[in-house]
Amino acid sequence: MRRYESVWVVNGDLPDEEVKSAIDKFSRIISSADGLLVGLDDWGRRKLAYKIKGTHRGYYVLADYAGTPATVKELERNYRIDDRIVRYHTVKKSDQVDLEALQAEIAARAQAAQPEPEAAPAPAPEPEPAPAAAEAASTPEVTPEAAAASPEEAAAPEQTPAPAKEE
Amino acid sequence: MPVMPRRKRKQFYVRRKVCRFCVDSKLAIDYKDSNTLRQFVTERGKIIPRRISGNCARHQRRVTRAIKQARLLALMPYIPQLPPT
Ligand SMILES: [Zn+2]
Repeated sequence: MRRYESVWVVNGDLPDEEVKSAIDKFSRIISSADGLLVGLDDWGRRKLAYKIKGTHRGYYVLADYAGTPATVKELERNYRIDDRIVRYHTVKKSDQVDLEALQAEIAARAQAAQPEPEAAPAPAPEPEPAPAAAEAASTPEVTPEAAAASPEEAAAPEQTPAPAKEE
Repeated sequence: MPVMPRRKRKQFYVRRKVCRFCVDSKLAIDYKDSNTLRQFVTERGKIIPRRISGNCARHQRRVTRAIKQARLLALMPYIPQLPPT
């Protein structure tokens, strides 16, 4: 399995329940497509730098997960179908995952999510330090072939643009 | 005469800037961190060239890529939102 992260931009004009259900849906797709969700990082509603699909607001979620190229492919197929997703971006963080380390990380995340009182400044530093394996090629080397199975895209953007459509 | 001899002025060049990512290895380039990336675009949202920002080639490439990725996610603009004139 490989380690990926995806940013989902949900249409920010939708009510909270809709946003929530979209996020749940895509989290489920990860698990159902042989993926393993490590954690979701909710950025909340933000102003978009430009108008997309008639809206200026987006609800951003960063999904951290492990999976196979097929997982990403299935996710991307669904992003394109789902109107609520305004933009998405997937980056491969590492080629190899250590399943044990991953389980430990998931557990740690779940723990961190529980005790509310002290968890305030936690979210940012949390995900990084844990996995030795995942760290290898991480951020600066945003690697190509985000498994979208389209090698010709490798040139500059290793991500897959959303089905833009901003008339 | 208070007029400075021309030669002198010509010799004084701005010191070559050093790449700040090379200097500080803790400084990450991340498409999600639009606040850092914002330092490398002009007010009009254009990517600042290397000769001005002082980035080395390798880091400039990464900055450029990160900015483009951030633009895709609408974290940064392709074009500026100018106030209506
Ligand atoms: Zn450098």
